[in-house]
Amino acid sequence: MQSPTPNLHFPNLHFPNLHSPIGFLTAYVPEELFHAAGFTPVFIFHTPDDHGYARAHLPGFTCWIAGSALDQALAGELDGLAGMALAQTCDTMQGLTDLWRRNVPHIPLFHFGMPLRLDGPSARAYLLAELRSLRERVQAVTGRPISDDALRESIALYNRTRTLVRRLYAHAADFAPPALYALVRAALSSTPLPPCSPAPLPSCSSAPLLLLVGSALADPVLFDVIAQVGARVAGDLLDLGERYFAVDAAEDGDPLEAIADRLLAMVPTPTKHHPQHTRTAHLLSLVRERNADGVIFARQKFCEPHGFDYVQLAHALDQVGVPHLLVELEQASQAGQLRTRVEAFVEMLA
Amino acid sequence: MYTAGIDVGAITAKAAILSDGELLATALIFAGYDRAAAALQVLDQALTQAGLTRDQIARLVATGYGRVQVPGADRTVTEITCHARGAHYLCPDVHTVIDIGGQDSKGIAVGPGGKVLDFVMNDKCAAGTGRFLEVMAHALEVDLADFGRLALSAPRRAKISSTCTVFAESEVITHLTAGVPRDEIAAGIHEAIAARIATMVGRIRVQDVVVLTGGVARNAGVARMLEEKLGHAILVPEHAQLAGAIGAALIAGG
Repeated sequence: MQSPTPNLHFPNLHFPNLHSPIGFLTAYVPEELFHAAGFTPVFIFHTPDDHGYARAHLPGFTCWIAGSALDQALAGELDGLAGMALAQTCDTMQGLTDLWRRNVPHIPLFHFGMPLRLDGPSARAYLLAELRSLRERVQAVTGRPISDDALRESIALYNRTRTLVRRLYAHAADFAPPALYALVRAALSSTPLPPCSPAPLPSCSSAPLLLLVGSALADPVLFDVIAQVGARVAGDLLDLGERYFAVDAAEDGDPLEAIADRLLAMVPTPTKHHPQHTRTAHLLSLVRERNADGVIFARQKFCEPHGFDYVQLAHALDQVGVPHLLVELEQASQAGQLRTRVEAFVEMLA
Repeated sequence: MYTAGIDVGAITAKAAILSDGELLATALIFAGYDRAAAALQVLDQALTQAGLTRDQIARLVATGYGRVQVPGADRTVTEITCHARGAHYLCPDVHTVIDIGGQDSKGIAVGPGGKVLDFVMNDKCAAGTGRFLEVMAHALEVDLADFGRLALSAPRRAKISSTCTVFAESEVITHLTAGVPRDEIAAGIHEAIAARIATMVGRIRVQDVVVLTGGVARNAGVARMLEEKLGHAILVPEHAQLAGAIGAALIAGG
């Protein structure tokens, strides 16, 4: 089933329009730092196309978020990139880092070590050391210093983007889900909005309000299906969704400390841990705040961290009687099968 | 008021006509590749059986994989919702529905009035579906209609350990080559599908009364072995394969 919003895919064709694009794949990449260095961060969304190149390097049980990026790179589709940035999030991304360095040498890779524990002074100290090291490494590659002033300007710019995305999420339920996520993807891709911005739909009180949880943001099929069955998205706990834009960095003081504090303050992704700031508590408060009727866990096939995370989040929702559905998104998700599950879930909520 | 439900599945198309909520007529045909034509044909058969014409049907609800292709449907509803409703009509005390179709299988937790409380589905792997039995029956050269009876008659069950239909077929051929009797292999095959279904259904809370619907419900071997794996008695209503269409026709009545 074709997505009705073809602009959800941003092929290599667009890269020449961006100044020194640097690709990234995970949350926790300090975009402001790369922007201050003269790069334009652009998220590399996975596509259903499989050229077969990545399969030669990856086991079959690798998530396609990582697999597609490698495949696109090996197919030469990412040659417009000036660099690639990966943060330490999961084993797969760690593996991809090494694979990239060996097999895509013409696109320099910057690796960023985001700590596992986000609480406590040692986490902040470690993170600051990583950010300082990253700054040095980026400067060594570009041959240009990254000044504190440049960092503060980039911080201000990204704070503005985040403010706009937060404003979007405040009205999430008024948008058709494909349109909502087209805008979120545009924000992640440093891509200007399409000339005709989608008009918000009139408030429809009978449409069930859903929250989405997981890693998946790229697959337009899910958003299309949600729209087709007449439901709306009231918010999400997607790694690169609402939580990614929730916290701003301080625009004064030491800019690297500001970035570090921002990264530590975001709701953790499944591979990070903050005992006082849990995903469970956040999801439950999101359900209450948005009057959500149900939650869809959209898990990328082979993503174990989100798989483990699902168990306790689902249990927490069961305790408060909030219905939920687990769907698995694949390299090329089948719209018919996805629709049957989502539609049955929405019928259940009615 | 006459209402109708059409369930266009992977292998068969089913129709049910109700008169003021009571079952009046049913029909079942092979769906083939033209789902729209199959929908019209099966409805026609049910209408003939009921002695009615199409314009006498006040409302038509379509369900199943081919639901969006049914011409003239007033509404489409998923087969999960329809099977729950249909099973409730056939067995008012139902709390768990297990639907095993041609290419998918479902477990549905059912509440009052046949409302869906929770569901779990397998539509990605043939190993827990009618397709598995079809492939195996073909490998053993047994009539699908006799397969369950053959399985239940065996004194022992051969072990089928592969989780994949394709690999399981190879295993069956290996058993045949080793001289394992056909009935024992058939028993092993039925145990394998029952185990697969029981594992899936275990993800929702299984509560009596458990009702089996879908085409595979006609296979007594699966039903009995599923009882064994689940530890619950299983009811197979007379119109088990029509549960989806009946549910759709009930929903058409509002």
